Amino acid sequence: MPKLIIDNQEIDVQPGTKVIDAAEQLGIMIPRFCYHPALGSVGACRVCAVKFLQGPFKGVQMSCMIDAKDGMVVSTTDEEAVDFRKYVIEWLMLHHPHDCPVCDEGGHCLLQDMTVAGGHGLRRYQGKKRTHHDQHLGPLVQHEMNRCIQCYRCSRFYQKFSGYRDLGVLQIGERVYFGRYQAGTLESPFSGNLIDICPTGVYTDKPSRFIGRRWDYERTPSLCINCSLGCHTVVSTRYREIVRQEARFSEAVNGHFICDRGRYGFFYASQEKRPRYAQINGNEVSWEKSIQTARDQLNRISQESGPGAVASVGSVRSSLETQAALSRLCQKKGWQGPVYWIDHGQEMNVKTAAAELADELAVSLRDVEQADYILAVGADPVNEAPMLVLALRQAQRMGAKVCFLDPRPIGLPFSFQHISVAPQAMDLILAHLLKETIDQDTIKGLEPHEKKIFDAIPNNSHLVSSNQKLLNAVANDIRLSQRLVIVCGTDVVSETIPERAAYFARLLAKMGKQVGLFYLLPGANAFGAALLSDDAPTFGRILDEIEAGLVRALVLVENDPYGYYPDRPRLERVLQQLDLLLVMDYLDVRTIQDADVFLPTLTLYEAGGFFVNQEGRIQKASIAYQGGHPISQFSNGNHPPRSFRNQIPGKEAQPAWQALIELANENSATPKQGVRADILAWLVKTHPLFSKLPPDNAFPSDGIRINPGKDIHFRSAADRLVVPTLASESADQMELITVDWTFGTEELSTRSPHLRKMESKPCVFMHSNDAAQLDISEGDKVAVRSDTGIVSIHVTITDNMAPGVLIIPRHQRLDWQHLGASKITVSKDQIRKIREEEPC
Amino acid sequence: MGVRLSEIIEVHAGGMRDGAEFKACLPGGASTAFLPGEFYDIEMDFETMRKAGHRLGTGAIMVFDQKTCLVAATLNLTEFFARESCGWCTPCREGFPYMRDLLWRIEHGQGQEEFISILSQMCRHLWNSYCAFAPGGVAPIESLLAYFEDEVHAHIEKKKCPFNDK
Ligand code: SF4
Ligand code: SF4
Ligand code: SF4
Ligand code: FES
Repeated sequence: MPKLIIDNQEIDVQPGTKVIDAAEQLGIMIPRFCYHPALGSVGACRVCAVKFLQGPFKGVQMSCMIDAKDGMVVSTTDEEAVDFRKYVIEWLMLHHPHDCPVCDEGGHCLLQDMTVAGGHGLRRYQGKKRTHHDQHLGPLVQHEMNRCIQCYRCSRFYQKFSGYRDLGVLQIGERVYFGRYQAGTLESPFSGNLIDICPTGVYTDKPSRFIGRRWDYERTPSLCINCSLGCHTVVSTRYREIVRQEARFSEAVNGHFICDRGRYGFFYASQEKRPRYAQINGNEVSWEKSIQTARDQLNRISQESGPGAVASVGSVRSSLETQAALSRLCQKKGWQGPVYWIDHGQEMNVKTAAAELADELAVSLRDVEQADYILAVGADPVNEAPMLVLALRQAQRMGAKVCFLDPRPIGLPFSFQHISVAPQAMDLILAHLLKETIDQDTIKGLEPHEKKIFDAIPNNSHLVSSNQKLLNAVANDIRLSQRLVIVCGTDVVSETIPERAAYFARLLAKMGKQVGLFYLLPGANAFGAALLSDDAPTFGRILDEIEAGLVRALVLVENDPYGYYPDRPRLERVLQQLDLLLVMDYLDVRTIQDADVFLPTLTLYEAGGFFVNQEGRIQKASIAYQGGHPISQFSNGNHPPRSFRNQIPGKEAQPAWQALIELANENSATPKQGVRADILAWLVKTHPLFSKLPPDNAFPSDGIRINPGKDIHFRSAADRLVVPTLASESADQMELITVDWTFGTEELSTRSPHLRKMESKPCVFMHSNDAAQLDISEGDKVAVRSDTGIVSIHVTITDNMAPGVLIIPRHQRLDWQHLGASKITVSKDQIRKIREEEPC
Repeated sequence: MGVRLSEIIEVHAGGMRDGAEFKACLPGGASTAFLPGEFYDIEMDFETMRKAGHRLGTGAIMVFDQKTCLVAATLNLTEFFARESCGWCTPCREGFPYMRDLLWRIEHGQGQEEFISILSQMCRHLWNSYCAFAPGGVAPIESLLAYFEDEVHAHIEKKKCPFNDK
């Protein structure tokens, strides 16, 4: 461990530590502009200069460029170094607009801080200031190039770190320009990070412009729940409304960055349309009245028809507290549920994933960066878990190879291999890949049940032989790698894939490799839901039972089946048959219109809570603010009303868990204090897994990981891996799958007016061979007929997807819910070209 | 190697023009220091030049006579460095245009005494640039101040370029 002296203080640091970081460990903050822990040292800005007095370097040197070494004596306050740093600031300010008071960065600007700290106050340069044109970079990022200090952080992040190419540095010398070749919306779904990393006001947050200053905001650590990764964020609140979200550093999860879906995905919390008042039959009533009515009716139905006549549906976007409160309520009352998934196939996949993710296989998002080979199966990172793209990119930069087995048109900002086969063929291909990879010794050493699975893998099929070359190459690469990660999706894949992926991982571990397994799940708290959901009912069965008159009351907790159930006419019909539909939500979901009783609930910003991400990591979001209507909406943008009232308008909403506790009680005299603690206590009691949960005030920032492994109670814990087969292949049949998309499909972020501008039009993706056969060209509109309805949609033709497959993003503005199921098979005569104006 | 500067100028290059007297030269391109008259007989090889505190550089010799304003010459050279800086690091990207501005002001009668100390400080600081471009690029300015400071002062005092009678 190198030992050095900085400003007369001695310190031991890890080998490889830069002097700038060694000083920081001593509490000495050396100025920096270009240095950034994620982007590394480049020595461009020269503001981190210090004087080396003894050791291998002498004189003024950049502290970000030099590794700490034994015997170094460093002074940060040496006259020459200080004078040089002053000059650097002066140089940077030569052309800088002196208008902090009207700059959007003012108050959280590194340049402002350094200029003040360096004491540069008098302008000596008498020349003209150089100016630049600003560019329109789309709805999310504002560009003001005159404020640039050429630290190159933006171009390094955008191109080197992330791999996107449409923003970078142009020209030389004084004329260097950071932007795009032509003005236009930034192509990277990580563009918002430019705002965080730019040390000045060149890139600022566009949606929150002119709202306030940094010091006007209350900043609270929070989580992103727009996908299952659970990235760390900081939310800024002003006047009962979130106005901005930024990345928060997390060692284990997202590092320094977040994606744009997450950054701008919070606007649902202050939507004007957000339901704020309890309702009975569509009429506003008090919270208490709603609870009382719901409780009376639920009790009555339960008495008349037995508790099984009440069913409940929970949500993968609810906090663990709410999920636990719902489980407790169902147990206490004997109701059916909670069911969490509208799609049963997805439910099986998620539960398999949760069960297979043994402690020794689970890896964090940051661990993925360390891999030297990554095999992704049925996962489309940019559309399902955007930040995984950046983790893969880091691995790739370090030399890792990345291979995707997926039918979709995978788009990534770096090169990778893509075995694109139809969803139903994936298991067979994966099994073959495994067979090609595992060596004889490992096979001999397999346990009998593992051996059985291995032996069941059939020998060649024509599908395998047509991919043979690629499979061989991939198998060879895998054999040569040491640190592998298998990424596995749970959305479009068939039910055997998550298990096959885990089996693959275990066998690779037996071959002596370091192996990680990284599942993607649908929903920020899908993992929690997998642990807490009831195994008996499925959503489909509940609908059947409603139709049969067996289920009379349905409780929907922050889950809107209209968004997910693929047969809308049936759902509409069935919900009508209920005696009681109780809906709780913080979104303006469609089911509120059908609800007999509605209770408004709180978002994670208002209620806080635990969420379990896809690697089984329990993380905590703090309460950012409490109260009702944002002031901006309540007073229509004017001065808030000058009259006094004893209630905050629109504050009737409660956390969903609160409503569930009140429903569980026999009467309304609910203790308001301590109820959350009761739920957690119940959780620990019923699920020993949660016994490790630290108290709120000592909860670690990176959370804690719980990986139940096979102990998880699970409907079919027995191995379900069977002989992978192909359903009969018919040239006339096409598989149609519905998928997630970065912008446009996810329930919360699509409520952001700014992300709506980033959405592309709903479309169906089709391979060019299929399009040619059907005589369809790019942009044509087609009607896809299923057993239950018709979906009419424009066609996008591409070659980097599996032929024989139709892919439809579940766009919120598309009524894809007429397909009948989330995956269907259609014959080619069910796809018909229609004229633009023709109704379906 | 080792041929005297005087011999190069007088024999190999055909000597100074009529009426022109040797004032200084850049011995090795734009990023070497001015070599004033006292080095007229120096042997042109790496070692001797280094001992004299100079560099042979590219060996491309540029001679200035007594009627040439070296402030103007330095301004011209600095203009080149300001334009050709790649823009990577702050001292070079911003320092050269800054010094160009100061030299331009001196040459055009707007000079102030403190410009001289700013110039010399900046030259020193440009040695802390990322690459060797800037330390080379400041050599003419450094040597202008070292050998021809009087000429610079004259510009400032007269509020005009003394070589330019208009
Ligand atoms: S970028 Fe920073 S220093 Fe520049 S005007 Fe804005 S707040 Fe001030
Ligand atoms: S735009 Fe910002 S991040 Fe990019 S070089 Fe300029 S100051 Fe640095
Ligand atoms: S990757 Fe997922 S969790 Fe992370 S910021 Fe994006 S949407 Fe949020
Ligand atoms: S921080 Fe070291 S050179 Fe920029």
